[in-house]
Amino acid sequence: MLKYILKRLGYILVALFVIVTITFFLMRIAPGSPFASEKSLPPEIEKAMNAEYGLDNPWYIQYKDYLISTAQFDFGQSMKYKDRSTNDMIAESFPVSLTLGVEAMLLAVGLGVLIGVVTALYHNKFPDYLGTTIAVLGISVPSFILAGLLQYFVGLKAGWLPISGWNGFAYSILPALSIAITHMGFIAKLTRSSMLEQNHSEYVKMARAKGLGKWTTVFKHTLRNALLPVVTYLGPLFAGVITGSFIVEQIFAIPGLGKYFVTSITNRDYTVIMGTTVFYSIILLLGVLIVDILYGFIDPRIKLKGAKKS
Amino acid sequence: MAETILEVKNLKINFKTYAGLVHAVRGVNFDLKQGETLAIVGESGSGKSVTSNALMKLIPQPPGIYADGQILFEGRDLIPLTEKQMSKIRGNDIAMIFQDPMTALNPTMKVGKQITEVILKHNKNTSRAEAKKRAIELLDEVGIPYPEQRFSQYPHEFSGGMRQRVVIAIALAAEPKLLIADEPTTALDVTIQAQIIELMKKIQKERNTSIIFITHDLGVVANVADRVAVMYAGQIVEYGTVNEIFYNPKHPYTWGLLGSMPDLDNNADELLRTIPGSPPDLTNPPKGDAFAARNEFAMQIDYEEEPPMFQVSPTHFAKTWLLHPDAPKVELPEAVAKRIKGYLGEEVEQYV
Repeated sequence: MLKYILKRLGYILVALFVIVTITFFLMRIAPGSPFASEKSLPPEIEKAMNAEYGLDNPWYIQYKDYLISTAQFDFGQSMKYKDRSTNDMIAESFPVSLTLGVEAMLLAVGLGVLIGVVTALYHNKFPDYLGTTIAVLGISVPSFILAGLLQYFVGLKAGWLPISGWNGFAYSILPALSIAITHMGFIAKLTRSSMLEQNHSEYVKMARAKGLGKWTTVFKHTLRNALLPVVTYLGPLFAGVITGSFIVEQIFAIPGLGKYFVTSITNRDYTVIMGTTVFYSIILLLGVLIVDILYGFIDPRIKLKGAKKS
Repeated sequence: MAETILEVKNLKINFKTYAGLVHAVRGVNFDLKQGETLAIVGESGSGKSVTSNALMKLIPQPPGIYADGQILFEGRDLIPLTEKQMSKIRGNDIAMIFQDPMTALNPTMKVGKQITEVILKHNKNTSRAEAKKRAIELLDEVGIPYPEQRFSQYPHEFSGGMRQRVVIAIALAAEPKLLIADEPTTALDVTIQAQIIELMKKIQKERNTSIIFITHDLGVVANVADRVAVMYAGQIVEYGTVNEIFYNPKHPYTWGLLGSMPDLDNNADELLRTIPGSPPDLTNPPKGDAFAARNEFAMQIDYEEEPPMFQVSPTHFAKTWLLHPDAPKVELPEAVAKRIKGYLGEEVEQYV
């Protein structure tokens, strides 16, 4: 097990190196510079700025510098925001996105699996139609529309929850819901089809023949076998959701990480692009690794390669 | 005479499909005494599995419909019972052995737990430790070596034959009075088949359990059954003791089944006999005798009126017009006669 994890961590490093390299060259290919704006700078000042950030060096020197500072997890100063280091920006905004993301995950997984199980159990009956409709609506209504509707009806009209801002748990409910609903729909559909597939298998019939009740059969037998596809979906979902959603964070005025992904690119803020990309990649790769380890726990037939045979 | 534990009366089961109502079981009657083995034989689609699942009320409703009839288990009709009442009977009084041991066990649950689950469900006062002890005894009883270690392994660590033994151990866990074995040997290879059949015979002898044995393998039937019911198109067409069915078959379908069984005396260049045609579509069961279209001895009346059950002996019944006093005498087809003579030659002392 430990050997397997170490091996996978090694692969993660290789993957990170590739990602850093590709990002670096893509950044350079894109036209423009961090200092380009409507008001053109005097050439002397631009030259001085380029020298300050090392942008006047040939590309291979810059690449080498990048690799070294990335390896030290020091992504340097933002080129756009004065006196702000990329690390500070991430450290400041990531906890916000993380809280929001974990809440959204719990909502999406909890509700999604529940709806999936109910719809599968009552296949082709009213609860199935109702649950499937909710799931499809969840998938097809974009999060910004939902966010707006929630703000208007729950926040403004009913006044139950704050409309926007970030001041404690109550503020996180609406944005978490807006993020969660789409994923909930996906998880519900995944769980439903997977449960239906399992319901046709003999061991479920066998469980019923043992005299187990409907729900006991689901929770003790079917669900664990049906969850594999859902777990597969969870890795990327986890990475995507905890690193913040640009749109939802904008709508609810939440100081999360999401906006930096977008603004850093339009700003050509090289250091921030690099920092956020590497950060996102690390979380995604770790998420996938955790999912792979979870597989082994859920289904004993999946043996982790390199894991010691018991 | 042993006590009758199961009596099925005029059982009719339909399935609602897009193509229409399928009459899968069309008025089946049989009974079962304590400690007796009844084999239900027939080709695929004859309704034998539906009948066996119906006895435990494992037919999903919808699409299944219990259209008519009674299933009297120890004198109590199972059909009107609720799911909750049925769950006390399933596994406890009636247990089932499934066809494919590769899929009948939950792949993500330890084998031991799949056994103790049944024990704990049906014996409220049993502790976990007692249940575990019982489960290990059961594993030992069905012939699994190292039961203590095997107890905490997963199904994928067992071979096919071993898994079927586990399935049998699960079926026996709550000491059922009736065991329904739905083609328990079909998915196994021949040497393992023999072992499993021996195991089931041993269990029956020790526990005096009644067994309903669903199969299409006549060799297995001859080996295990006390009585045989031959099913065709959702009905029982011939019904009798194992000797009556094998040595004195009366229904042309039974002739066909016996004749199509290969044996060591077959010549290399002799073609295996088959029953021509295929079973009728049960969305529209044919008028008259369902077997008429495939029957070389069919008479005019077979296409017009359904034959009743004719009594051949106190225990032997067959549903064919050939047994009517006015019917012409039909000679047993040569291949079948030869086959029976073959059996008689081998086991003549036993039969006489």
